[in-house]
Amino acid sequence: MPHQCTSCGRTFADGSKEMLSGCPDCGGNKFQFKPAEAVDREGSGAGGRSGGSGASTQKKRPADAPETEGDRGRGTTGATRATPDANKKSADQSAVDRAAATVRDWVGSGGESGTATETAKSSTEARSQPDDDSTVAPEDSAQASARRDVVSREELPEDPPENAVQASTGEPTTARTSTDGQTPTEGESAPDAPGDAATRDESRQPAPADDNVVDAPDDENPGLEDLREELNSQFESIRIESPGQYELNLMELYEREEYIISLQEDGKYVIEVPDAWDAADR
Amino acid sequence: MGLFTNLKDSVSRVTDKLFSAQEPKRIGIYGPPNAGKTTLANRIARDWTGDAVGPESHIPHETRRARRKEDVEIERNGKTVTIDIVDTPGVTTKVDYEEFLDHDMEKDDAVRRSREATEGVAEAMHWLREDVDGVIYVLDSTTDPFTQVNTMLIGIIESQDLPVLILANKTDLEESSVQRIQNAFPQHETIPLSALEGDNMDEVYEKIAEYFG
Repeated sequence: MPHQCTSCGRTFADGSKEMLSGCPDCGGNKFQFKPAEAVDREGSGAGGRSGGSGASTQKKRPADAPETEGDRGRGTTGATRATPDANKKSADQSAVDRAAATVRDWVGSGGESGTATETAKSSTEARSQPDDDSTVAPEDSAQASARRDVVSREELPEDPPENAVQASTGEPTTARTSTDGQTPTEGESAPDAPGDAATRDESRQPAPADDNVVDAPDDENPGLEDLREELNSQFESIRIESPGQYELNLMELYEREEYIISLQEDGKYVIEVPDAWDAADR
Repeated sequence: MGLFTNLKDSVSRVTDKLFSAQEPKRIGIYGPPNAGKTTLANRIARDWTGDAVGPESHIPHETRRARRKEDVEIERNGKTVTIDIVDTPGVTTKVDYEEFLDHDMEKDDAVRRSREATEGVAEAMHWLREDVDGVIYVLDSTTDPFTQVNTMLIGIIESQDLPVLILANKTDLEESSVQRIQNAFPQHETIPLSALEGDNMDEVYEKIAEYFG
């Protein structure tokens, strides 16, 4: 959970949009960036916290359900994915349901834009798809690219690992088929040989994961370099080459509703919070 | 029937006028760094209000926060236009502290300036999206106008349907080429001027009244 509110300490997933409207807990708009390893070293305190306090329901959910990709990036899901079974699937179902609910929450609250709507749509479609085992395995490989196509990692909130595994095994898989009407682009469309496909799937798994490594939170070296890279992949609007050297993506800067009003070299930054202004006006 | 329509039209015209009188148009002065935006803003502000907008300098990114001068009343041909002038930081795709080192600046200061300039660009882009009703686009006529920044900004301005006036500044310099700017943006009118010397400001004010009045 690389982003942390500096006033109340609440953490946010890398890529979470929750914080874009200010910290939901305390309304603060100053955050610091914490690399993945630093968080791990803290004894998975953050993960434990969000897992344990299921009481905070709705608010918590966005932080729970769809945190799939971080784990996928770390390659933990490969094995799980190769053994599809009924229990897993019902778990998947609920995970995906929650993911869809989350997305709907976002859309409902107006905090998200078009992409989120698309995700919601495809999740819903996904659930309506028949899932027989023969289709699950080969489609798994498409899942990564499907999700990459539909919604970028930045748009998915963080969650604890258990859910991550489940969510990534399940329905989004079929999202690809439902939207494209096609099997994976890899061309290995062999749904008639599920076992085969499953093994192949496992071997193929690293490929899409590698593709995603760019924006997955890395476990190594929380040095300033990495930190900058993290920030860069997050806020594509401003790339920090080194202290005092910046590259700006004008289009991104122009299109963003919120904007960075203060940059600091230690990974801290201040964003303007449009929603907070609205609230103050009311 | 016709009478009513006319009446309605004239009523709405009056209310329109009232509204425009209450809310002066906010005109953003945009352009790359060192094009003379602040010099122009100061010239306009001094000519019509007596005050300046902000410090000018030959070092790029002198303006790192948008500065506003409100209620600038410009009179042209018996007509008065009231505008708010927003002088924005120069827009660029790259900020490097090393370019400031050439201007006798300590590294720390240069790095800070660079960071502030970056924040300034973010602010300028944000203003462009939300807060301006028209744009005065200032270009240094001694430099090549075919840049990514110019193309992108003019494109954004056009896509927003904002009225835009392109000024070819620094005509007092020998290398100035107004034609080059006209060629770059043939879809817009280009007005030559020297904000520093005050050359051709009459035409500039005329056009401001015409475009933003």
